[in-house]
Amino acid sequence: MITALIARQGESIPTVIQQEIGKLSEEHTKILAEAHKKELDKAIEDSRVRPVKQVGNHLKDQIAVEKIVGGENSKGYGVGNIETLNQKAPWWRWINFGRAASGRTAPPEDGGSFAPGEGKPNRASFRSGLWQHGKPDSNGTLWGLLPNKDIQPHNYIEKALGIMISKVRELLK
Amino acid sequence: MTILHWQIGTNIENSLIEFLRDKVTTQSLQLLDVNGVAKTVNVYAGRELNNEWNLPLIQLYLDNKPDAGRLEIGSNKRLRSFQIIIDIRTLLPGQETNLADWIEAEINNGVTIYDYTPNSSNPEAPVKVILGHGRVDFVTSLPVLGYDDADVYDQNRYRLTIKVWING
Repeated sequence: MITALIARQGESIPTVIQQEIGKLSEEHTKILAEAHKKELDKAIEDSRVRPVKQVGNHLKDQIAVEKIVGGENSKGYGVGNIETLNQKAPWWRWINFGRAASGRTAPPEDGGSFAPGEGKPNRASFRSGLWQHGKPDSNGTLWGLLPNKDIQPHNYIEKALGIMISKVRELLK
Repeated sequence: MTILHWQIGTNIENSLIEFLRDKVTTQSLQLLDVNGVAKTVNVYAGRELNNEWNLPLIQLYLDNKPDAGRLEIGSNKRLRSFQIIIDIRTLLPGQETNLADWIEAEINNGVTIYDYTPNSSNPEAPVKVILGHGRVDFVTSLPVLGYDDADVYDQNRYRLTIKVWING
């Protein structure tokens, strides 16, 4: 049998073990938090309905792994700061739960055009372009849009968590 | 030509709905509205909220299938999980949490999963045979934060996420 002894001058073995386990636990938590961020990104990407990405703040970019510090010690890691999301990507709630903060389920009426592709809102090619708020199409026409279809809940939070629970169980086996 | 009938995902969804509806009926489960009138709890299927649905309600649907591990080496039998979202919407604050507690207690021991086949003579009552017992794991259980100007369907809302496990 090979036995490894951990010793540090001036410190008792239980203290050293506690320190080492603490470091390992923190490292594991960080790895899991990073894996969770990847699963969230994947769940968001998998449930995208339009091939072209909108310019500006993306939900994915606002979800970050943050160290949670309380008092002198680290309390672990969190994924997705609600305050940041509410400020920079307030649609996180709508996309996940299918309901906006206002209770709205379908987007409001608006003027603009679709691009690329046909600028006129057209049911047949509705998901080929992105809606450009306030922008006329290449012919200079500004189109009105009255959405009547609800945005479906994408449940990316639950999707990611469902997978993470399995991953954590695998890790602990 | 083969018409594809309900597969395992839809069977699980419907088994859960039937289970909860049976429990609501046998217990005559009701919740009070703002005038003190008792309202029966409704159970609906569907990802999108339908404005014709009546509160208080339990809305459930299959969201995804996160696990499909092999039951054993050398076998193609899988242990699958089916992640189900259960949205609870009630008329008064606090009721959503109570209804969530009730659901958690009722489904804690699992649910009988049926295999449904269409019944042309009575489409409302499809023929069913027992497929197995679905084990339930709880993934999330928390109120969905409301806002001041949220409409009636969103004011008192609670979301449960469960995994139903079945092998096959």
